[in-house]
Amino acid sequence: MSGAAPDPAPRRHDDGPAVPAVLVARGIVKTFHDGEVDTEVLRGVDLEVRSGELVALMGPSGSGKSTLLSILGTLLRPTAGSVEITGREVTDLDERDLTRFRNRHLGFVFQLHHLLPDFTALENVLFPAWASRAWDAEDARERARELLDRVGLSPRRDYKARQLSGGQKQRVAVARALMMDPDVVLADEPTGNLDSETSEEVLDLLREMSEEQHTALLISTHDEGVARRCDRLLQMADGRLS
Amino acid sequence: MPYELRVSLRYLTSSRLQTCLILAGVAVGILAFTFMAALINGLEVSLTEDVIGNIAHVTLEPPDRVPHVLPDPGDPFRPLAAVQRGSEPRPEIPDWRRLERQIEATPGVRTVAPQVTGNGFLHRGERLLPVAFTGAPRGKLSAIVDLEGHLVRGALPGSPEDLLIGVGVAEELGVTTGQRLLLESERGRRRSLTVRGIFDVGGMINDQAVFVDLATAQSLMELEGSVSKIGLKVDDIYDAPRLARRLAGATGLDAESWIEQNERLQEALTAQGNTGALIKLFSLLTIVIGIASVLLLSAVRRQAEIGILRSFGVSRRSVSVVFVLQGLLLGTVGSVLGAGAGWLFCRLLLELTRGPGGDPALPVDPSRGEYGMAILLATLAGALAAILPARRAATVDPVEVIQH
Repeated sequence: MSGAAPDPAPRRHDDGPAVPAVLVARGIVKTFHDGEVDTEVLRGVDLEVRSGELVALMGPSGSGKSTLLSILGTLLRPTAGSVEITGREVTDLDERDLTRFRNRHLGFVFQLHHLLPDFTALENVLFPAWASRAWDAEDARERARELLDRVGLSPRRDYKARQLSGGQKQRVAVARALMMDPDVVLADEPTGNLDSETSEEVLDLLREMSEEQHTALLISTHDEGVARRCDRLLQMADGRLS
Repeated sequence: MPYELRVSLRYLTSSRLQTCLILAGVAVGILAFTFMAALINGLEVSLTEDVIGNIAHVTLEPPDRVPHVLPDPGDPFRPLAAVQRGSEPRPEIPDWRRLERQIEATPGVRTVAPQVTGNGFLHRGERLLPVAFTGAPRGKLSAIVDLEGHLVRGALPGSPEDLLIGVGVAEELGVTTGQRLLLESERGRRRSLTVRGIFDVGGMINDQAVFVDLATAQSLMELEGSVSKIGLKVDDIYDAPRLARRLAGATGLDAESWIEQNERLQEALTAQGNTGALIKLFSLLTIVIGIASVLLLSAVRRQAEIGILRSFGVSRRSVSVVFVLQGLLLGTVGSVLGAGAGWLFCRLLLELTRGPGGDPALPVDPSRGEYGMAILLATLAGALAAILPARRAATVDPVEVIQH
């Protein structure tokens, strides 16, 4: 497959058995149609990310990073190719099952944090649990409080999102992404809008929590410093991984 | 609490000014709705009471004798015998006492008044006044028209020599109680009677009607032992046509309800009701348009939030529910406020426009403002108004709003 990144050697934790790939993408092609113009944004992408692994995805603007993350996050359907998450092929799921699958298995952290400004930090973290309808209300609150405590925002948990600073908002976004204990967290430029000190803090947080919860983390970034702190680096150019 | 409701409430409370404005809009619409209902219904009651207050709800009379022909079996165009209408004796009900008891025992009948009615002249010296006279058994004179409640002088007739007249007749002839008048019937019979009482029920009755004892009317109309018709009041005036049909079948008499006797009134009330319904419909349409525009604006303004909700697993259906709930909440809360304001407005209007006689300028009936119906319809209107914004919100593409 052209442009595919070489498969990494199976990562071992503590010299134990090989860790299985939790996210597998094969031959991902994405073409956008605008009138008579077709734009091929992804041209056959293969990748695997293993449980607990931190992978950086770098590339210039327009190389297809965000589109790839959207497809891996089941927000966008590929024109061709397949995506398996926790061994389940997701590209042929219908809209309803896809929404449920996304809720249970995936977490997102975006560059602009995208919190709901009229809700408190605690409520923002609780939203995925509310949407799943699978949690006991008090259990969900307890879990959300723990996560906010973990990201150092216990004192701010009852603040409306609009009352928080940029770094605090991104910490809340990290806590929200981890609320459902997802198998994969996809982060699109999570430190893009933060100063270097806050970026470091957020990255440390993502790394620590990924290790604690064995969550696979795929981070799209322009920042080489961020990329260096990941387990593996994938370079993207012209819709291909190299 | 379902989280969709939590989100709906938060969206509404976080845009306070906008929410207050649209609630005020819904409330004003419902105020107009309930005021129209109270006015139209009050007007209907007022007009109906004016019309039926002084007439029988059902009138039973001997059947009309239609002319009939006995044709020759060999030649259908050759009559063997013909019975003409004019050759029949005057319509009368000889066994009225039995029928009175039978009618009184019928469920739904409030009062029964056997009557002898006729036309005649009141003489006072050289002065003549055409009048319609009614005779009823003592104690039944007020069964149809509330004469007792509208006496302005004297008392009801207590003997066959007594006469009860209206204030118009008294004024026209220049008489008062205790004076004697001569009543001459259309049959040419005359009785000298004493004015026992004077009533004021309003309208033409004051100027044209006089009341006497049944025996006096029978004598004047040469109907000794009989009555010319039986009038009755019923408990439910709108049930009168059904009761009339039932009594006609049971007694063999012709029965007509006040509704059939006043078809023009019914037509006027129907036209008035249709006009009111149209105004109420416009009020509801205003509510639908108001809520829809506010929610559409909200759906556009909150696109990014909707996209992010969709990204972590909130279904399209739940997004739609959030907007439909907002429509329902705006419709319900706004209409409850509007219904309360409507009731208060009607009460104030009644109190502030009361004339010297105690009658309000507008016949508004605050108890008939159809408040429950208004709240129900406004709530449905709110849900209806939310459909388009909900569809719009549910189709937000999360990728597009997240990337931009």
